[in-house]
Order: sequence, then structure tokens, then C-alpha cells
Amino acid sequence: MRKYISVLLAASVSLASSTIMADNNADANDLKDYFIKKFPGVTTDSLVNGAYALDEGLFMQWQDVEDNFPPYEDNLAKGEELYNKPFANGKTFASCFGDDPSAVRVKYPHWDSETQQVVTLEGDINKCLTDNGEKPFKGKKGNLAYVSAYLAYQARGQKINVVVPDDPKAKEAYEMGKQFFYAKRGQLNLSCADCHVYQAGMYVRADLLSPTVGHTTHFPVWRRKWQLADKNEDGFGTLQRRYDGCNKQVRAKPFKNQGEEYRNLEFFHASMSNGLEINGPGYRK
Amino acid sequence: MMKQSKFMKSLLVTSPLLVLAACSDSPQQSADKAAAMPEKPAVMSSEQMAVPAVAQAPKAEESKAEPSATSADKAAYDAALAAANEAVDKAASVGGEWRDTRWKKSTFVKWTSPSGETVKGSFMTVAAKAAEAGDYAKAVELLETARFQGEMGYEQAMAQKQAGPVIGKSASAAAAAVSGDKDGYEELLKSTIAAADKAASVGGEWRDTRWKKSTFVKWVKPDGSTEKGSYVVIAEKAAASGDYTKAIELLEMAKFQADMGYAQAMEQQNAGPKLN
Ligand code: HEC
Repeated sequence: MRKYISVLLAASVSLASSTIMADNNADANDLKDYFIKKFPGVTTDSLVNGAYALDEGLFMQWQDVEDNFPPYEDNLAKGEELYNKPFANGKTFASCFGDDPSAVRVKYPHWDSETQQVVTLEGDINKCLTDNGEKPFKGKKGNLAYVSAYLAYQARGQKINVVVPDDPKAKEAYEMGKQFFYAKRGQLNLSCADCHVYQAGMYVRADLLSPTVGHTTHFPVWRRKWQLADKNEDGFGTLQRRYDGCNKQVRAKPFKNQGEEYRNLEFFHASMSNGLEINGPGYRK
Repeated sequence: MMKQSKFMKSLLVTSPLLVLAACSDSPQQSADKAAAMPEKPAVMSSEQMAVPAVAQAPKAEESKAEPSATSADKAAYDAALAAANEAVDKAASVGGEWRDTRWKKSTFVKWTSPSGETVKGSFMTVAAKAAEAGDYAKAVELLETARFQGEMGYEQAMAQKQAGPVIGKSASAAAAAVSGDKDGYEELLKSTIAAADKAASVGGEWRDTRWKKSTFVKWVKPDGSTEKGSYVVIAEKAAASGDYTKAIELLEMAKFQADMGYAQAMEQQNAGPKLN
């Protein structure tokens, strides 16, 4: 009898885990519908432009910068240089990412069934370095952001397509990212969704809050604010640098760069832009 | 449904007030505003107001054995430090640690030492500095806030475990949703007005809920023109133009504010000076 019960229990447990929903495209569609209703006249595709999709005046100013003097140009070129520069062992990044640099960005983030975790582009850039006996790039800016920016630029126009495979662990990671996004945190008790879903389109002080659909398409970004904070006047930063900033705003302690929390968040967050075009790197204020 | 404790409710009251001020600040600006922003939520339950056990224990000891003031304070400090670390570790273990509790990069708390040096850091970093300078009273006070934040952060993370979207299909299941049409709008308008009346009856009505002079909410009409007003005023305009979805969204915010305004006023009934 005992044995029978434990068999039953085991069966129900595995059933439970395989019924985790984790339908990222359905979640993305819910959000897209919500924003389209919330912002009459705004198309889903235009959300790749973040807050600028919501205000024509701001859009024009921003477009002017993007078209005429994108401040990230020099460091974008540096990213290309770094990407092609041979390592001490003579190989280059192409030995990890393949010969076509335009085919890289769109594969990220993804679930890696071997290591059973979410892998980000920035994570793999550094993995390539260490696998080849090089030192990894530090932090969430500088060289790491330049190489990432170069790969984004090469992939412009391709569509984001994050896949959550039919693997309970992958689904769990996705659900953890989703929970992270919707959970209130910090002294101000606000969630990502409080600002970037429910209050999107509203102003907080001088900032128009961007909708979360379209958030990841233009990363890494070059921000005026980051430029002013940097002694080399370089405003580049990765998506996870932005996560840090937003967590700090609500007075939550930021999480570890490329740690599990942020990687899972990125898995969910990027999924919400499925079907939208990659347009990184982007200029932001 | 999400269960909300009194702690979390009190947080909710402060957050809408603080969010406007919180964003896009330089660290310096936010530190400057620290005085205006409560370190602890403005609304506290009576349990929280009770003197924490850590602070009491050493006092009892003091009167009994009469050790030197310094050693008694040092003991209080050690106890407070252990309690704070324990609470913050617990919060961190569930990803609920707040920015200014213990994080090395926080510059939120400012304290001027007896020798005139100004120290900036997290509550716990500055507590350590204060203790170093012999000001155990200050150190213990800061550690109590740190412990409090640790407890809140833990409770918050636990309460948010099942967090998920409240939009679309899942939305209607999660929230006690009204139908997205004229009937739903009218029903919600009635309950919103009732809630705002209730808040007003105890002097707790917020600025942008339904006040005629508020220009806080901006709404771009389908024809491209912009309307400004309070949540209720704009909701009424949106409804008049047939956009019940927008109207309901705005009323939900208004109702939320009204409920919070009432709760805030009630919890602040015994408010008084807190000068040290
Ligand atoms: C208090 C409100 C607030 C919260 C909460 C918040 N953010 Fe932000 N976030 C902002 C503001 C303000 C900006 C700058 C304006 C904009 O683009 O929305 C911003 C910008 C961003 C951007 C860049 C958008 C772009 O177009 O470049 C991303 C990505 C982002 N936030 C993600 C998040 C994530 C993920 C969370 C939760 C961990 C979060 N935010 C929580 C206020 C917030």
C-alpha cells in the first residue's frame, strides 16, 4: 500500500512540473494587446523605440540624434575591432560564435540544456574569452557592451525569438523571471510591472515610462546619464546594467551581474519582445 | 489572491507618494531628500512602535549591575548588530534585501560624527562607523532600522512569491474585475466615490484622486487632444467618449488611492513628534 501511494505521489509530482504553463508567446501577446489598447494609435512594432514610441515630439528629437550623430558610433567600431582581434592563441570570437557575426545576437538569451541554465549574449562573450585563456571583460559596460553592441548592430532588423523549450527546468527559469518582473521589491514596494506595464506612458518626473514590450530590442544602450557618470565619458551599458538602475530606484539591492536572478529575468523580459525587430544599440537619455 | 499584511499595506501607502520623487534622481539628490522620505514606512502599526526588545534588554541590565555606560551600550550594539545581520541575511536568502540596509554601495544614510566628519553609507555601514566613534545610541538606532528593513524585505519577498500579471485573462482571475463596459464602469465609479467619501471623512483624501484642481493625469484623446485632471475627472471624460477600458483603468487607480488615503489617515490618528 505504501509503495502504491508513493508511486502515485511521484506521478502527481511529475505531472505538476510538466504542467507549468510557461507559454512565453501567450504572455507576450497578452502584454501586446494591453499596450495597444492603452496607447491608441501606437503599433506593436513601434514599441522597439521604447518611450519614444509614445510621444511624437520626443521621438523626433531622438530620431535626430540616432540619424545624425549617434554618440555610440566610436565605441561600436571598437566593438567590431575587439570582435575580430585575435586572442593570444590566435583564435577570435568567431571560433565560438561562427563565421557570420549577424547570426549571433538573435540566438540570445536561450536555454542551455547542457548546463541547465539561461545563457545571455554577454555571458557567452565572456565564456568565449575564458575558454580561450583570456581574461573576461569586466562589469556591465566598456568592452563587454561594445562587443554586444556590435553584434546587435549586425543583427538589426532580425526578429527577437526567445524559445522556452519543453523542459521543466527551462519553464521553471522562465516562470522565475516572470515572477521577478511582477514582484514588488525594495523600500518603495514597486515591481517592474508597476512602472513598465501599469504606469507605462505616465511621467515620473522628467521620464516617460516605457512599455516593457520592446524593452530589450535596442540593448545595449548608450545613455547620456551614464556618459555623465563615467570618467571616460562613455555611456554604454548592457541590459543588466539597466536592471541594476531600476532596482536601485525602488531601493532594492541590485542583484549579481549575470547571476541567476537577472538571467532568468532576461529570459522572460526578452520573450515579451518576441516578434519585434532588433534595433540595438540605441541612444537613450 | 495576494494576502497583504499590515506591514505591506503600510508600504503601499508610502510607495505611490514616493515613486514620483524616487525616479531619475542622482544619489545625491535622493540623499538630500532623505529627510522627507521616511526610513521606515510612514504608517506603522502599534506593534512596530513598541520599543524593540534589543534596545530594552541592555537597559534592564544597566539598572541592575550598573556596568559602565560604554560596555552596556556596546552590549546593546552587539545584540542589535547580530539581530540586524540575521534579519538581512534572511531577506537576502529570498532576494528581498533592500538597497540601503547593508549594501556597500549605498550612500543613503548621512551621519556627522562627533569629530565633525560626515559619513555616508547604508544603515549598517554607518552604524558601524557610529559605533567606532563610540556613539552606540546612534548605532543601535540605525541597526534597528536595518533590522526592520530586513524583516520587511523578507516579508515582502514572501508575499510576492506568487506575483504575476494582472492584465488580460489572468487579470480578471486575479483581481475582482468589473466588466469592461458601461455597467462595469458605473459600478466601479460608485464604489470609487464611496471610497473617496470615506477617505475625505477622515481627512485622508489624496490630491489626484478626484480633486477638481488636479492636473496630474494626462490623457491623449483619440482625436489627439490632451485632457488633464484627477483620476476620476479623466475617467469620466474617457467614459463620456466611450473609452470604458481607459475609464476603468483610471478608476481602479482612483479607488486604490482612496482606500490608501483612508488607511493612511486611520493609521496616522495618533501621529506625533518623533524627534530622536
Ligand atoms: C519606479 C519606476 C520603475 C520601476 C519599478 C522600474 N523601472 Fe525600469 N525604468 C524606469 C524609468 C524612469 C526608466 C527610463 C525611462 C524609460 O525608458 O522607461 C526606465 C527604463 C528601463 C529600461 C530601459 C528602456 C529603454 O527603452 O531603454 C528597462 C529595460 C527597464 N527600465 C527595465 C526595468 C525592469 C526589468 C524593472 C524591474 C526590475 C524596472 N525597470 C523597474 C522606471 C522604473
